[in-house]
Amino acid sequence: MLVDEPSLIARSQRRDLAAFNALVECYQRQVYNLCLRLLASAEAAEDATQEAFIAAYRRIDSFHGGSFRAWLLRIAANASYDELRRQRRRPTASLEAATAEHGAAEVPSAAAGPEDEALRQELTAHLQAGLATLLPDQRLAVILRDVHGLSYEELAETMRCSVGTVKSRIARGRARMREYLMARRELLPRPFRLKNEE
Amino acid sequence: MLEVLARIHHRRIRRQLSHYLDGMLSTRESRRLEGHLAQCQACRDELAELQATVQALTELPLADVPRSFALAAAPVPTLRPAARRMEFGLRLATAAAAFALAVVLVGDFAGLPGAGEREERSMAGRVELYAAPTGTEVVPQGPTAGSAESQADRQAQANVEQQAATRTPTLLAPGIAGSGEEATPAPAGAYGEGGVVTGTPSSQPTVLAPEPAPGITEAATPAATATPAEIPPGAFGLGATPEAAPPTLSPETPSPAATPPPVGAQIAPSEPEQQLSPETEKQVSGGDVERETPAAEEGGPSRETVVRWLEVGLGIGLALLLVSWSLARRRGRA
Repeated sequence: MLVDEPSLIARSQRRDLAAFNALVECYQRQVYNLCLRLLASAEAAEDATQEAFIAAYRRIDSFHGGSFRAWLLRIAANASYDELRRQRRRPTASLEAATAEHGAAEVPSAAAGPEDEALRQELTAHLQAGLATLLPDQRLAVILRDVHGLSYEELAETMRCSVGTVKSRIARGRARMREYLMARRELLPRPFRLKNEE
Repeated sequence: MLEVLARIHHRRIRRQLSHYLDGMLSTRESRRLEGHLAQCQACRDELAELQATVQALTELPLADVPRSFALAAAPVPTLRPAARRMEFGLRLATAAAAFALAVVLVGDFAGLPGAGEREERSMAGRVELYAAPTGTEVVPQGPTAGSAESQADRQAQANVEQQAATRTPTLLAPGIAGSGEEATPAPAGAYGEGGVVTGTPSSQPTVLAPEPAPGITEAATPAATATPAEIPPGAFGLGATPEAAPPTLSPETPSPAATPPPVGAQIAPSEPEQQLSPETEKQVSGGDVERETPAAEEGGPSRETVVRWLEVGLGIGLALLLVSWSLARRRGRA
């Protein structure tokens, strides 16, 4: 969170574009990555992210305190669902198909060696495919909690539900992810295989 | 028993593993869970696997943004709000049409009071109208008004019918007397009274001429008072007499013999009116009012037809609204 976030929000509500763009710069990575995990396509994520920020600028008056990140990620999630709906109208669009085609929105990492990089990318692909098997609410809850590190309260704010519902969605989503990954444990990196070998 | 309890406890612990990883359990719950983990290898394994899953998700690297998403210019307010308002209006209209159609359909199929009953009544009235002595115009109105619910009304109706029945022979008498002189009494009895007179004329044809009225009156009265359903044969017979009589008549007097019964039938309305009790007169006047209603219904479209057209119209309207709403929605999103 930015130090002067409240003042930036207040200025944005007075239609100060520079102030709003400062907020965009701060949160665009999170917004883009949420769209990327939900849509599993870099191209679609880019569109959804831009739509989300345009919608956020238009609706900034409706922000009345609380977590700005949760509010923004909610708009991003809605923009992603809109994008998914648009994709479904086209013939070649489902999350699984997109995952298969685009290699699960792989993220290159310069720091790791070639072998580690290959393993990491394989794990990322499996995680993305596993996420695609979850129900939409469970998927969003797991991504926001485990990938973006939102608190349960922020999640409840983002998903507009109770903390109890958030708990349930996270628990079920994780349980399904565990089952999915364990069914492919021989393909996964060491932490998963070690548990099996011990 | 203990095994079942242990299994239930195990299941509950499994559900709490995810919350335990996030530190969302109370101290007491955490202690209980750790106590179970110490004894249960399956839960320990599951917790480890869940931990590895969460860790893998947490370590998923965040991708760099392909470009800056900063807005170059403030987004121009598009026509979207107008489209949205239009969509909202269409949605509202569609919902209203669907509701109206549902109300009409429910009303139609649930058979709300009115149409069915009224139609039944008017039908019953018409049946009695045809069944009751047709020679008179007053008598049939009794039953129509008599269907107006109360027992007293029914009694009054019976009175009217009884009076009509008792009078019938007197009306019939000239007809029979007129035709009886030249035609044979047997056909007159066969057509005229049918089962009501029960063969009296045929067995005593000569008696019929001197005393036709009392004989028929006695026979007809019990029949009329017993059930109204027995009136029709006699009543119909009265109507049939003029048509049935001519073949039996001699060729020399066709018209005089044929005309008396209709004349008698035409006279009948005036006679009963004079003899009717005040109650029956009320019935008659009530009957007149009620009789106009079915006639008016027959003139215009019936309620059932109106409902059918309403259903069809609403259905078509709803379909059109649905199509336009979906089009507006698509345009709004595009």
